[in-house]
Amino acid sequence: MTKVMRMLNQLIGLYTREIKNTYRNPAIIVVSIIQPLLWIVFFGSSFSSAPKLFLENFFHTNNYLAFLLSGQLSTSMLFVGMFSSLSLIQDKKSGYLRRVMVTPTNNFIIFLAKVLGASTRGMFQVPIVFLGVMLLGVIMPSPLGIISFVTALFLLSLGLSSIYLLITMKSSDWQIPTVLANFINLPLMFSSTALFPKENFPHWMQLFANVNPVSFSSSFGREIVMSGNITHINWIYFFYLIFFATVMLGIGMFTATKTLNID
Amino acid sequence: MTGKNYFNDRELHAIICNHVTKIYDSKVAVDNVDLKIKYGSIFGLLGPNGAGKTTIIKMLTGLSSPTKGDAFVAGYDITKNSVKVKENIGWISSEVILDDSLNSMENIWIQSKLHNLGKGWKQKAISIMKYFDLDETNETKVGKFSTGMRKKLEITMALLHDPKILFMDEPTIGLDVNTRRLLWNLIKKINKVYGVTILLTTHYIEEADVLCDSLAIINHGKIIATGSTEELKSLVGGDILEIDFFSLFDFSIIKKINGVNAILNEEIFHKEEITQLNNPLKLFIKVNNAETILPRLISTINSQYPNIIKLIRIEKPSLETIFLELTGMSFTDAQEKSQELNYNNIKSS
Repeated sequence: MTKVMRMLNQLIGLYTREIKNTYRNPAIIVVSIIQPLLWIVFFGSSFSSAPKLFLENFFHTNNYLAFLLSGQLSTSMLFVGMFSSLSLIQDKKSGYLRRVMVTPTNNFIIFLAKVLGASTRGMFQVPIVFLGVMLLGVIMPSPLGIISFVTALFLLSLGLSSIYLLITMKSSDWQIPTVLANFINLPLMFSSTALFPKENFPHWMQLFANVNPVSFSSSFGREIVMSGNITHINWIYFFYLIFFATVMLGIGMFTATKTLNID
Repeated sequence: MTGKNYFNDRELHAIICNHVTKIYDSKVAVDNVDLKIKYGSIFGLLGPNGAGKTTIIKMLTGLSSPTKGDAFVAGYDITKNSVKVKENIGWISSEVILDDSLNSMENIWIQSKLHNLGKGWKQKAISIMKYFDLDETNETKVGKFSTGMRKKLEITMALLHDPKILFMDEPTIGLDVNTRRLLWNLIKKINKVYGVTILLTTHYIEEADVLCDSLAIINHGKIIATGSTEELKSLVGGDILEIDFFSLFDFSIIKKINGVNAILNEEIFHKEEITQLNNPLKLFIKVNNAETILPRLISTINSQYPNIIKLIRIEKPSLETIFLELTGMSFTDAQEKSQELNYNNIKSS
């Protein structure tokens, strides 16, 4: 019990630091609010003049914004992963990681704090996007629907942040996370159901879309937004996301324990 | 060593290293180091840059495992029980490492969480801060603090959990003379008031001389001498004359003078095969008493090589002369050589 309490205290300390550091600069707050709204306004408006019949046939809705909402938020979680990597590299460069590692803190706690910090950061934009799409005419689902949707996004974010941290665990190079983001994010985004339904994808791309966690979150959130509640939605995507997040966190924590060092 | 002595040793000594070796790829950074540091002392690891001091600290603070050998800190094995080791140590870096975007209390709070301190953390922090003349109500982000204040805050954080041993890696590097002296006083105070054993690394000879009860001199990863400063100074057993000559000459005539014990860097000149007699020459000559021998020495040299002497310095026994005695190289030359080696390594990699 004492051991668990000690680990919990360490996690609280490091996680709080991550959150405080996220918004150390007021410019970051402003950009974090504006960026997802711009995405919604510009990309969401691209089909605003499309014929309703086309929208209903292609997107199964006459409001592309409602279709895009869960996809946009899921795609944002891809970039959240990058922040976890950058945060670790910054701590390596500044020596702060060494400061933490000479205390009795297990490496997996450091990993967990980074992943949770980045995922929480990703969640901050969710209410702002919700507010934006509501103003643009999208009807929000029930509170339980919103909670389920946000939980799915959080799970996606945990998994993706873990992947990013895993890849950059041994690196101290600032360029790696951004290069990775360019390399990983675009294929994951376009081979998912975030922006378009997969029915019109070529067969090989559908295979990708079926195992792409961004698709799980996009499709799950979309079903909730479209139906307005969680009564008749398919929970399989949600379970996939739990599995994805658990496996990635597990691998990440194990790898951090074994390999995270400042040698 | 018998089993009983082995455990007595671990009770008496804050730090024990047995044949500790660290090899990175094929480069030996720390070579077969044996150390015993008594509880309550200030122990210095003195050596030029790249000598292996920081690698030893990394291993003793549980950040890196030795390739060979074993070590105990506060009675715990550094590889088998690194969490226990970390519970009992504090660490102060060469460059102050804090979260600059947080204020002092926020930084201390995180440290208290990492050491799982209870509600008493704040009271403890305030009492240490008051001792170091730090204002606990200061809301300013620590990034805007002066270097001295930042160092004091880092020491406060290192002492927060009552460590038995404090590791200070080059604690005064990059500080101005006044701040350095202030820190020396603080280090002595911490050792006296809090009873903490301190292991510090330094490449400032003066610092080791002023602060340390005992020390080890390290060069190329090897401990070349260890003991109290007085014990080490007695190793030299005489004065050292450092003489710069305008050009090379047959300096064997110096060795024939009564009272000259040795030419310390003679080997270097033999190794480098002197062929050009126009190069300047620097000799370190160990003598019984510099003041009495100097007139004879000057007249002997001048009689055969007039006006060849450029400069003469007298070195009384000090850590500098010990280093010279043991390595045949002045501390400054060793630093320069090490920097040159590092530069070449970077260039070739």
